[in-house]
Amino acid sequence: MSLVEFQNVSFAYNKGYASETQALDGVSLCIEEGEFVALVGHNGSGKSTVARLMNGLLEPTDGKVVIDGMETTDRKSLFDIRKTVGVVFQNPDNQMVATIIEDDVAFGPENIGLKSAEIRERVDWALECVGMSEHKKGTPFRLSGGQKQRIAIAGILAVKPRVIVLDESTAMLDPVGREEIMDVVEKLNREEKMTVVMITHFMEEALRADRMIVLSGGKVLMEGGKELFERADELTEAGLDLPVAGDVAERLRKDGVSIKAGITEADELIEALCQLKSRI
Amino acid sequence: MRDVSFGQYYPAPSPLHRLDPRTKLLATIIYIVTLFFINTFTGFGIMAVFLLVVVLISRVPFGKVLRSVKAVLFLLVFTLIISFFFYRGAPENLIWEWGVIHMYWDGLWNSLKLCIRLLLLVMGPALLTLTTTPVELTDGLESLLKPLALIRLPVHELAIIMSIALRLIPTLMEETDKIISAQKARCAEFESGNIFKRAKAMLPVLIPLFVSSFRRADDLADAMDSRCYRGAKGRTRMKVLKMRVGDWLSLLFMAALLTAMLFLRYNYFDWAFIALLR
Amino acid sequence: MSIKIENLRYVYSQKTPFEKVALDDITMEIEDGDFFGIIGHTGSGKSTLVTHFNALTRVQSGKIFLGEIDLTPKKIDFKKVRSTVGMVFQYPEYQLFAETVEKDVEFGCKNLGLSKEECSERVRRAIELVGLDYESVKDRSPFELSGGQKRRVALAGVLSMRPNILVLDEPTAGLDPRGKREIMGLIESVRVDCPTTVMISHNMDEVAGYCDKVAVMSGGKLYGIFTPSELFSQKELLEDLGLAMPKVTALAEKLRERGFDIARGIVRPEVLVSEIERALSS
Repeated sequence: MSLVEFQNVSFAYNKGYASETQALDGVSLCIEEGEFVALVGHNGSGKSTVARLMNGLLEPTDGKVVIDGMETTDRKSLFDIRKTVGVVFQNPDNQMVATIIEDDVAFGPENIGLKSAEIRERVDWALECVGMSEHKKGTPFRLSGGQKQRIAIAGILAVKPRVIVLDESTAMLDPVGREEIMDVVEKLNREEKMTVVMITHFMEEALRADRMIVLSGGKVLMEGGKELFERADELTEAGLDLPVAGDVAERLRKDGVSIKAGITEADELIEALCQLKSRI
Repeated sequence: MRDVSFGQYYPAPSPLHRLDPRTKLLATIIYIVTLFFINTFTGFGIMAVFLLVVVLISRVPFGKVLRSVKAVLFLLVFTLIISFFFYRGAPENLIWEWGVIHMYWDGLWNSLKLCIRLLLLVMGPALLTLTTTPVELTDGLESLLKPLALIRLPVHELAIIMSIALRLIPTLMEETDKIISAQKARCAEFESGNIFKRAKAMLPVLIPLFVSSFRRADDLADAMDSRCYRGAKGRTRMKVLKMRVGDWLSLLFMAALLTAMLFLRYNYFDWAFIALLR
Repeated sequence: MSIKIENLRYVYSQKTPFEKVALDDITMEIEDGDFFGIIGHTGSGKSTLVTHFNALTRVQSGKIFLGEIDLTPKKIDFKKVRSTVGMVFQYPEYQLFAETVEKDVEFGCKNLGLSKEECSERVRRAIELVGLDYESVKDRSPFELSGGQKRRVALAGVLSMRPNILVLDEPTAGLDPRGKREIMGLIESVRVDCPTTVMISHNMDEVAGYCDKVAVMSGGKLYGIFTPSELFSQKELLEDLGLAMPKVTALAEKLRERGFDIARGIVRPEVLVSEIERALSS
């Protein structure tokens, strides 16, 4: 059994009203323990709905979401589901409950009802993980977007979930902030063996994951590793950008230059071009 | 801009800052109660000296404490004038009179006492907010009011509302600034016209502000749910408030002060003396 | 219309312990018809600089001229200045307030005191300019539109004032790749009506792809004004300033290092493609 399982899940906002909008349509997916999965898609593809379904903030209108054997529609397991799956959202300003950073990070473990000493330990550990220890007594107001978002991540980490979901958590950040978050996320996956689901529309970020799930119009368009980039046209059609090396490679291929499909990294493209040059 | 969430908190390494917020809250209440029992210049003198000593201990500059008086200065002068001019004392104490306006010696003493009481009343709580962060105050209040949860008063909910408000005020102020700038860039005017016109001119600021506040509230609710929030149920705290020896001693001192002032007020000292003599 | 800035200096919270120099002796000129980029880290003074252009921030010391208009005196014609310099802030959709799209877009026009006919003509044009269908969108509530549409409406709300200069602060922030492309395309097309564009951006690929001049700000100072290919071919300079190279430029540089004979400072993918093809065929 997978840690996270979507079985033929559909979801409609405002179901039964005139404004009903189908956000997800028969989505099935599995996420295994320890994986780093990127969930990509254009705005409105339904990817943020997936995040909210994963910890029971939303209930599927059809199908089943099963987290570690627990169904999210089962009210009794909701608390345990939220201890298992932690979600970090987009706007760092709207996720903080306290004015002092360490108090904010403590909010999660306080809700679980841990003892004071253990909460303190977890808060220190979580802030260490995201590299914000020296700010713990301060307020979040003077911090950069990236730093605020790292604190939001620490707030989830302190709950010690097995899966951390980042729902477009980099979308509002500048390039420096985005890089900070990606570094933290990779570290959590590699060193803390945490399962990571990264929801994003930045293909460079998706490339750093083990596996990609592409959503389009509420359906899973494709899923797999880097080989997905061989289907460049479909990705572009789904409103996504190719990484720059892939874009250049694709344009060259269209002009008749004989290099292989599915290039994503600069080094790959350079190797291919060098080989081509030496043959001429 | 200073962080509003810090209120007027003045950080300093003083024993007063380190006291448990509950101690400081209770002490302030006792202080206020005491002031209402005092009606002699001796009593006010003692309280003034007490406040002065506490301010010195707190290492908060005296000017900061005095600044709190500025807000009530008008009230102070007004009280002084009204109570002085319209007080009717014994005829032998009359200084001067003109129509409805009278000046009596005892009227002067009375209004002076009123002013001193008002001054001391304002400065005490000011010192509380200068030495305690709003967060500590909220925690202290929650803890003090906890027994009221038994009669179904939503103490925890009120505390969390206060804490979130403190957290969101600076964000919303920043947001207001941004929206005002954006509307000004579309040639909106906020400073001209009569009061109705101005109120109407604020709509393009207030509506987006409301919309975004609701959006933020929604987001925050999701974020809190995601962090396993389910109200007061099973919730513990990282920072457990703890009364130390200093706290108990401070409260003991305050209780002694109140008792002493009561003795002074009702001449218990004399009666005790007489009782002893007998 | 051009913007001339001479020795501009701005200090926040003057004469308090929180005093902070936001702009330090800035002298530069934005010429008529420029697509002018301003880059620099958060807190480098970019926003303070651009809010001077429409007198939202008033001159403390130094001078600014908007064409012939001197922005230094205390009393100026604010309506004239703010309708000449249209300013679109970050996440402009958060300024929408009216019950219909039409009324919201009209707000700026109305504040200028224009006639009803003139206003509705301008509103129609502005809505069409941002690529929305006037008839189908005008009576809808701006709050029920999608994120990208909201941003267009907000942009139209500024364009209805018929500005000569459009100032944009991070116009594509938070959008997905398609949304980004669409908004940038719009901004390009708006230049028919409003030829001068100033854009603050963190996205080097956008700066490289659209701007013809780039001002680099750092710690309240103007580091210099460059063309994109001048700026992005200077690897050391970018590293010193902690700015990223556009990804295309970085790729081109790597190819050069591997002995490909291609030009320096390439900032657009289509240029790189043709350079590679040239290098391969020679």
